[in-house]
Amino acid sequence: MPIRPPESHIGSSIKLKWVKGAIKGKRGRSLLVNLNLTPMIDMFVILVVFLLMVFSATGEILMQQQDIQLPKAYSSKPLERVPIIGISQKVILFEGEVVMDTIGVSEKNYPDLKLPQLTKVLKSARDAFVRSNPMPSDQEKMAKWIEESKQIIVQADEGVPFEIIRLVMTTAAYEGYSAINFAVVPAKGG
Amino acid sequence: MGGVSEPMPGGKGKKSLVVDLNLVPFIDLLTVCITFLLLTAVWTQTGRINIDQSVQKPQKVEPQKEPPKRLTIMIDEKGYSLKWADEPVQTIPAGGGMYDTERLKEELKKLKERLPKDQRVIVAPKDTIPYKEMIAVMDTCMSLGLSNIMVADAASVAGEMM
Repeated sequence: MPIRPPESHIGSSIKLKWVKGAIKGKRGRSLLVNLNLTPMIDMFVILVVFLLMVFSATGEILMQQQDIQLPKAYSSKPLERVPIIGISQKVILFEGEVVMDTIGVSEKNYPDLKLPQLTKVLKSARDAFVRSNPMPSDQEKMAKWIEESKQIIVQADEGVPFEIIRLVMTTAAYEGYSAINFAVVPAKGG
Repeated sequence: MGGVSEPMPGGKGKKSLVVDLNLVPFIDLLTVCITFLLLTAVWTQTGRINIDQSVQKPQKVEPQKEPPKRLTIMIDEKGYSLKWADEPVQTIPAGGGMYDTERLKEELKKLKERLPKDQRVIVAPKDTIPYKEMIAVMDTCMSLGLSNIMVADAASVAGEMM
């Protein structure tokens, strides 16, 4: 192998002649290419504008459940962060945790209109709420506290029979959650 | 490109006016913005239809001299039954499993002129009726401004629907 002087050189296996030439400076074409960034920035700006438009300051309150298809409604109000009861065709959930099966929930099986498993979790949720936000002594604040403490969201599948909804509502009302918010998908127009 | 490459007047004519803007910080900023917005994006908007005191605990009902007038909408397999105070029951039949929400809206619109302010509406679906039909009726009421809605059991209002 011949001894070469210390300079930039390239292996003879590389057949790109112009690369060799460019390195040696024999050709006029430079290896430095100016990348055109304008289309990328355009795309980024459009993305930012779109994402800013769909941005919601309240965040995602309801996690979309796989088997719960919410009904549509034209006149709805924005949701607030309160406990959530989910009712799918198969199970009843509380805050995303499965509480009991929907199958078998009927007035015949629960003649006192209370679902014992749901009662238990609602009771512990209320206890936790009272522990973290004790009832204020101020008259005005107390009214607000009471109003806040009785709110609950019912996120039910659109095909669930009313009987199950009714039993869940009764159970919630017995536990002091009497202001029931039915979660819906806001329909456009109307 | 629209760059200006004329030599500066009065200058020595060597300094070009075409300046390469350093876009890297701008791209960094945009990337951070996109990442943040993608993570916080809410793809499914949800709303609520609220009712209050839907089911009351059993309590002693004191007899009243003049009971308040009630507006009841019962939903069963045959369709809607609408009853206001002492007037006869109005039925809006459902055709082929589809409920006639449009007609219900018209009837309620006609009725609304005679209703007192903040009239309570009782929506009473039968046990087998799907939840979405109840929401459709509640939505119709709310779109007409009747937002004081109460949900009851069809069996409890069946007596007055006769």
